[in-house]
Amino acid sequence: MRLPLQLLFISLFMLALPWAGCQYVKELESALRKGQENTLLASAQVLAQSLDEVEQFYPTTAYINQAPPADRQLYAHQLARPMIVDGYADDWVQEQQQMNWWPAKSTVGQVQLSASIGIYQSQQQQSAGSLYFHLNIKDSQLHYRPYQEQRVIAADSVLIELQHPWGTRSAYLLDTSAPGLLRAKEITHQFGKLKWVMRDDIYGYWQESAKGVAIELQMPLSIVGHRVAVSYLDYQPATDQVVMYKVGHSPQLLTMAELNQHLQLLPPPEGYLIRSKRQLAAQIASYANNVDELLVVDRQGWLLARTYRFQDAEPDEFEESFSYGFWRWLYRLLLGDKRQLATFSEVENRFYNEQVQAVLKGEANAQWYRSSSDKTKVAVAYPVKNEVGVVGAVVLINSSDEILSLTNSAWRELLQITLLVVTVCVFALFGYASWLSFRIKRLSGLAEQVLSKEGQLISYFPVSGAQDEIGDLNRSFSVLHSRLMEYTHYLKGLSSKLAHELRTPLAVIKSSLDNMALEPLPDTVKTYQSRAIEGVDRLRYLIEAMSEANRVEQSIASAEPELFSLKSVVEGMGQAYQSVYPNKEFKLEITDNSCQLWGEPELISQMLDKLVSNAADFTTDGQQIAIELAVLENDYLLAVSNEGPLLPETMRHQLFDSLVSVRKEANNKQHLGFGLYIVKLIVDFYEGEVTADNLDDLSGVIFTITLPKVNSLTIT
Amino acid sequence: MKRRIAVVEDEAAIRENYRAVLTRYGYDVSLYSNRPTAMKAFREQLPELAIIDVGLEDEVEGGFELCRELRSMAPHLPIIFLTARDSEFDAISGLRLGADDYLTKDISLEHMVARIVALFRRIDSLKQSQQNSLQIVEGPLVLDLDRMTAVWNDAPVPLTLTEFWLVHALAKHPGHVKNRQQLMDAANVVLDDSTITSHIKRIRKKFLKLDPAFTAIETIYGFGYRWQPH
Repeated sequence: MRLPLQLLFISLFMLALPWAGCQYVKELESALRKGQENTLLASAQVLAQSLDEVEQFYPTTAYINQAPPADRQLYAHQLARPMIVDGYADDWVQEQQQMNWWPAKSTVGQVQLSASIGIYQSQQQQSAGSLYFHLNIKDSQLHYRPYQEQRVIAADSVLIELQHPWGTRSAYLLDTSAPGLLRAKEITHQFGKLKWVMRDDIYGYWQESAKGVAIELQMPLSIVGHRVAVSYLDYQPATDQVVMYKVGHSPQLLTMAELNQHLQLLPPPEGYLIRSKRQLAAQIASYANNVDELLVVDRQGWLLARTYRFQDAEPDEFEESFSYGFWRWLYRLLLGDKRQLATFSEVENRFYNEQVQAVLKGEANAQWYRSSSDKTKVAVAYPVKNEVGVVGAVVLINSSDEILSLTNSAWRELLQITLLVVTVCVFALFGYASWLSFRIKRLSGLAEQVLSKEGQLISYFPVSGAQDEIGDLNRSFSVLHSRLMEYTHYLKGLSSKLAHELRTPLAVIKSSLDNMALEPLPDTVKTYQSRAIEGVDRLRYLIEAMSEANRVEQSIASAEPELFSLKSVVEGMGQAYQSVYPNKEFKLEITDNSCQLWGEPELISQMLDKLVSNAADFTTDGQQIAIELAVLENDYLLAVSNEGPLLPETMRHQLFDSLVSVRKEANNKQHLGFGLYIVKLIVDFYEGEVTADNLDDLSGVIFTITLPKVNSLTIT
Repeated sequence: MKRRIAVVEDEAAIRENYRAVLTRYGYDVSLYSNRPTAMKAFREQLPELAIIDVGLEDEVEGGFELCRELRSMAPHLPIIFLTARDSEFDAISGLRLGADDYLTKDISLEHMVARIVALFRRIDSLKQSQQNSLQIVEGPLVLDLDRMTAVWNDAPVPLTLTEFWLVHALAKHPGHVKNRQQLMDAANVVLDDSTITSHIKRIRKKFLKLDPAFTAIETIYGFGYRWQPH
C-alpha cells in the first residue's frame, strides 16, 4: 500500500473521536433521562401525598372493598358543553378526539350494543347539569311500539336502571312507535302490576342508521345516582320474549314474566358510574404546567382527573426541518437507541396497563414508552394510599422532547465539530503523506538515476537542506554518491596511473636490453634476449593500451573543433580497412550527403578504428563487415555491423565500460576492453548515442551511433 | 674532444643504462639524480646537451623547472625531455619551455642516440656558415637538412626534431600519401597513432601561425598524410 493510503487508513482511526463523542452524548442522554425520571417521581410523590381526600377516589366506602369488575362499570366523560340531542355522534368529541364507544361485550346474534356516556356540569352549580348517553345499536330488525299498545314491553327499547347512594332505585324505559323524539317512562309497580309514568325531563332521539339505530339520551344530573346499568331490550314479537343486552353482561333471553319480575324487584345495578372528579382536577391543575400530561386513576385505572400542559411554544423550526430528521436518523444509526419501548396508547377513560397495575400494588415506578408519533415518553406512576391501602395512583407523563432536543443539539454540534476536525486532520495527514511520499519518491528517483542507462554515474546529486530524516537520507545518498564518484574516478584513472608507473621499470628493462644488444653475446643468450625483447614489446603495447583511453580523454579535453565532412572521413577510413583487413569483406553504404559536422575528425576515425577492429575480431575470414552512414532528420547515423557471434545478454549494459571484454578466447592480440570504452567517450564528446544490438536476422551484431547534426561544438 | 651530455634522471638503473650506451657512442656523460645537484654542476660548466626527466625525486615537475633555468642560462643548449609521462599536456608544457624534443622513456636507445646525433648535427650546422647545405625546396617550404631547420615563405618555422623529420618525410615526396608507420620510421620514433596525429596537428599550427592560409599537409582519412604538391 502506498504511503498516503496507509496514512489515510490510519487516520480513519480518528473516527473513534466522533464515536466517543456519541457515547458521551448517549451517556448524557441516559443521565438526563434518569434525572427526568427522578424529578417526575418526586413530583408524583408530592402530588400523591397531597391528595388527602382519598374518598374522592370512590363513590362509596363500600366500593373500596367490593368493586364490580371493570367491564361492568360505566365511565362518564366530562363534557365541555351540553350535547345536542339528535342521535348523531358528531358532537361527541373531546380534545379533538372522538369519544370512544363503550365496547359492547355481546356479540351473540345480530345485535350489538355500544354506549358512550358523558356528563355536562355547569360551572356555577355542581348539581345542575345533564347526563348524556349515546347508544349505537346494531340491529337488523327494529320493532316499534304498535299504535295504542298498552303493555309495558311491546317494542325494542332501552332500559336505564339507577341507584342513589341512599338506596333509592329507579328504572326508565325508552321506546318509540316511530323514529324521532323519545320520552322516558319511569317504571313503577302497583300490586304486582307494572305501570309507567311519563317523564318529561328524560328524553332522547331515536335515529335510524344503516345498520340499526342510534339513540341519544339526556337526563338531569339530579336524578342520577352512583350506580347505573344500561340495557337494550330486543323484543321478539313472535314468542313475546325479550333479549336483554346489558352493558358488561352477556345477553339474556327473558320471558315477559321474568322481565316483569326483574322490573318489580329491580335489583341494584352492579356497575358504578365512574365520573371524572372536578375537585381532583382543580387540585392537580397547579401541576399541569410541569408535565405534559397528568393523570389520576383509581384502583381500576379509571381516569378520575386529567390535565394537559398548555402548549404555547411554537415547535422548533429546526425540529420540523428535514435535516433534523437526518441528524436524528444518524443519531439512531450511530448510537442505536435500540430499546424496545412499549407503545403508548392514548389514554381514553381507563389507564390500566402493566405499569398502572404494578403501581396499584403499591410500588412507584417509571416507564418509557414510544408514542404513536414516534416520540419517547416517560410515565411515572405513584400510588395514592389511605389507611386501607392503595386507592389509586397519579401518573405523570412527559415526553422526552426536551432531552431529545438538548442531546440532539449537543450531538449535532459535537458531530459537526468532530467531523470537521476529522476531515481537516484526514486532509492534513493525506497532504502530509503525499508530500512525504513525494519527497521519498523524488529521492528514490534520484537514487535510480544515479546510474545512467549505460551504467555511468551521474555527475551531480542534489543535496537536500531538509533537517529531517529524509533530508538525512538524501545527504547520506549524496555522500555515498560522491564516494562512489571518487572511487569510479579513481578506477578510471587507475589504468593510466598504472601505465605511468609501469613505464619506468619498463624503461629500465628496455634500456638494459638495448645495452645488452650492443654487447657481444653468445648465441644462446641472444635467443633469450630476443624473447625478452618480444616480451617487453608486448608489455609496452599493453601499457600503451592502458593509457590510450586517458589520452583520448585528454585529446577530447584539448580538442579544437572544426567543420569537417563526416562522409569523407567514413569513406576514406572504410576504403582503408579493406587493405588493413584483407581477409574480411567490407561493405560500405554511404550517403551522398557530405554530412558536415563540427568536431574533431581524428576522433571519428579513432572511433571507427575501434569499432572496425572490434568487428574484425568477431568475424571469421570471409565474413562481412558493413559500414553504413545515413542522414536522419536531426542526426547522422553511423552503423558498423558484422556477421558473427551474438552479444551475450548479461554483458549488454557493461559493454561500453572500461576493462570489460566479452571475448571468449584470448587470441594473440591483447584485449583490455578499452576499445568500446573509447568509442563511448568519443560518442559522448559528440553528444551522440551508441547502442549495441544483435542484427534482426541474428546473423551478427550491429553497433549503431547517432551523432546530432548540431552539437555544442557547433560554431555558427 | 668528446661531447658532454648531462643526464638528469632519478632512476639509477635507467641513468646507468643511458650512460652505458652514450659512452659507447663516444659521449662524455655526467649523471645527476636531482635538480639541485644538476643546477650546481650546470652553473660551473654547461653540458652540450641535456637529457632531463620531468619528475625528479621529490619534485614532481622538477624537470620543467630545471629546463626553465637551464634555458635562461643557455638559450641555444639542446634539451631533450625523456619521461615516463606521456600526456599531451606534459609534452606541450615541455616543448613550450623550449625543449628541443619530448620523448617517452620507452623509446629504444637506438632511436634516442639517433636523435642526439641529429641534434648535435643541427647545432653544428647552425654554427657553420651557410654553404652548400643540402636543401629541399617545395614551393614556399625550404628544408635545410644539415641544420634541420624549416623555412616557410622565408620565415623560419620553429620545429622540434621529431616535427622536422615528419615534415621532411612528407615534403620529400609531395603528393605521396605517407601512412603513420612510414612517418614513425622517418622520425625515428615508435609512437601510437594518436601521437602522430597530435604531432601533425602541432606542425600545422606552427605553419598556420606564420601563414593562416596554410593547407599543405592534407589528411587522407584511413591512410595517412600527404604534402600537397605546389
